Amino acid sequence: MTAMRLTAWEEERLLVFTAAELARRHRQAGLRLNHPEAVALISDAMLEAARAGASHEEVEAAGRAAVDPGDVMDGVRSLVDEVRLEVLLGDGTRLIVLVDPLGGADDVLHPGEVRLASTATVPDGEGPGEDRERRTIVVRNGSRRIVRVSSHYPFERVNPRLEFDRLAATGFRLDIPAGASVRWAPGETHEVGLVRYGGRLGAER
Amino acid sequence: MRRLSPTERLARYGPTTGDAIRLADSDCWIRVGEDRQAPGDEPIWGYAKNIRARMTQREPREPVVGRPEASGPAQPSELDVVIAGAVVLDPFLGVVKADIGIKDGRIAGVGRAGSSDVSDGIDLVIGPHTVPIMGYGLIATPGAVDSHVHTISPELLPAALSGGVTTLITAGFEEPPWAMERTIAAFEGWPLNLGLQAGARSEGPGAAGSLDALLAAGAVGFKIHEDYGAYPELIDRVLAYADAHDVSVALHTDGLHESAELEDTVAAIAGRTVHAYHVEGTGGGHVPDLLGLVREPNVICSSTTPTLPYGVAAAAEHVAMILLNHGGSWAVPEDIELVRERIHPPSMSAEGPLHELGAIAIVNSDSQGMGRIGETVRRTIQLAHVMKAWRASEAAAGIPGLLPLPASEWDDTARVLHYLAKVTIEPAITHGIADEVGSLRPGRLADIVLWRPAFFGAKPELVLKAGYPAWGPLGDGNASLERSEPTRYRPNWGASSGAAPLLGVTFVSVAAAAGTAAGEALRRRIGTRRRFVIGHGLRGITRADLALNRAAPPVDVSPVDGSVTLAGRPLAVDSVAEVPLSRRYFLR
Repeated sequence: MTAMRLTAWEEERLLVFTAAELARRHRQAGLRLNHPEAVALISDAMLEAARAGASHEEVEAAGRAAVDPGDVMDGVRSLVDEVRLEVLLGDGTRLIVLVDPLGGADDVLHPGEVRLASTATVPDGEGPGEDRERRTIVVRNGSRRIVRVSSHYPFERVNPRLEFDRLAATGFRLDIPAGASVRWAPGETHEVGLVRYGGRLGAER
Repeated sequence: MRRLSPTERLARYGPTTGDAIRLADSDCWIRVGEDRQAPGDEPIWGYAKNIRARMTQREPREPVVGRPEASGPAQPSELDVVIAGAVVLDPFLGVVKADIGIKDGRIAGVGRAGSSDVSDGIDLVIGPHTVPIMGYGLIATPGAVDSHVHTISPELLPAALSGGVTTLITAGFEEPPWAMERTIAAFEGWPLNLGLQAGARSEGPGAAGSLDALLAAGAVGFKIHEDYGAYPELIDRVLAYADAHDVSVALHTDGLHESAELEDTVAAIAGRTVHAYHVEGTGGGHVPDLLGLVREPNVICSSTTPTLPYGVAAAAEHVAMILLNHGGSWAVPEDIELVRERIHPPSMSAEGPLHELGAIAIVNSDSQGMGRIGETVRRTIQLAHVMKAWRASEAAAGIPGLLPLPASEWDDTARVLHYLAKVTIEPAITHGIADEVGSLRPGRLADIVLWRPAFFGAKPELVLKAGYPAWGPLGDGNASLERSEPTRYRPNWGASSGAAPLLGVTFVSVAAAAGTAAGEALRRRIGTRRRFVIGHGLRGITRADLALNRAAPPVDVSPVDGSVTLAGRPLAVDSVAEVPLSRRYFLR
């Protein structure tokens, strides 16, 4: 039996198509596009390019070219900060993510923008929480592989192939922002700052 | 170590103390008053991040034992869920950058989450059974409480959730009792809290028995509506019954002046607590001077979405809206004439300034009965935007009791909290449910709406019901990641029929509380798995008991055209032609 057998995934393509058709009609009428209209047009252009056999890079380019930044309402370039879409390429389903496809920084309105209280960087030692003990140690990577250590790993327990004074590191972690990390290439040596933990570990001397 | 610049810090952890955030495309800005996270010890999940054993996740102190009676094996001290680094926007807490801890479906705290092994000042413990939700860069508000809902059709419910509403207090028309029970049962599959205010339609000696039956069927309060009779004697009898049973009463007064005028209704209320609906008047009630109710501190006043903010087309849409919502007919000229007399632009114009004063305390929808449930929050933020401009204009000069002018062009925090309260804590207090909803203070249900600031008030990022993902913009189900286009507001796991009854609660009166004969009988009849929660402590409330909207100004209201003055100054805002949180965001 040769029924059409559309999956929900295929029906969703029709939803993008319909939204994009509406957006095209609005654009033809001289209306500036809103956020869902712009996203629909970008998505539709990428799906069409993929359907016509384009490569991953060509599909991305089609998405970036789909909407003229001058055709959207003020604020919409800024609102469309990312478009995620899965298209069907020759080698199967592939993910495309366009970041800032319309150039949001140049927009005249920035919905949800943050106005910083200060743009000056706090000098070393003057930030909140910076009263903790700090020390500097030299660490060499004796491994044949790249080693990375993140902010909150107990430094005395890192990969044994990192060579340094472990006793001096006890109770300390890397003095870098939460969620950041430091990279050692094989054989590489870095001088790194350590900061004493807060809490129970920081109190145990 | 090289310190992060403020811009780099913003990219990693979102705004901090002193930073200002524009709400969507409006002119309203909130300013972060406090950052409760520890700089340098922010908990953050992911590749090379720190919510792991040995880091900001604390190792259990004692062997983990299952808690078959509760929701999982989390230890007593550790969270079920942490929302890390969100900007909490709450009528009581203000604007606070913090971690939100959730335990057993409730707010455990708004503070500093992590491990007390590695950080100082931890009041919320992340353990090996804590789900991390990254809130950095997002705004968290309490789920909105819509206190004027007509459950006309189930289509309301996706609209409510997509607009950030998680609690519905209804406004009559679900009765009689057999129908009310079915409505309560129908909510079994929806991750929403529900309280039915049943229509009180009897005024004779048998009224008490009729009201008893409504409470036994699960009503949390009553609604008096002129289309079923809002006579002074009926008002008196229902309020007396409500005082004796600690239940709410919502009032839509006699717009015809058939039995009573404004002064007669006020006399019938006789200083008792009542929630007056759509006091602007177009929604129904004493024509054209219903707004006079704002003078009475015992009358908690609300107004509804269609006239908020006052727009240039507000009057035009109302003939059809009133006629078709109240049994009128285009074929009956008298019906149309009645309807036209209900529409008074001067009172629409006064409504915004009365919200600004806090004299009208609550915004609610009047869903499908002259209002739009998905716009309860949106309209309220639009109103804050419009009233900010009015407050700074000559029109507001000399009017006593207004919010102070903001100290900075980028700090409307007081105004935003004042307006947010109208859809969260004020209706929660008014309906005796403030220990469950309306705020993110510890102990409340974790009914939390997360918003990207760019979409604030228009389209939520994620709606959590009792701490569990219930609703949001979901994408392609086959995709290799979430939120692949096309994204649509859809049920998340919490909206599945199996999970929803664990998340939504049903508000009832003490007469049908769990454990009472009536309550247990009701639970058996409808086979509910939802928790029954008592609305309580709501008699004797006055506007002074509300959080932020507490004024009862001595306004004068014209009985001729509904125009309002205060201290000799007109209370009037011009109708607007354009609103934010609107055409940029919605495909229509």
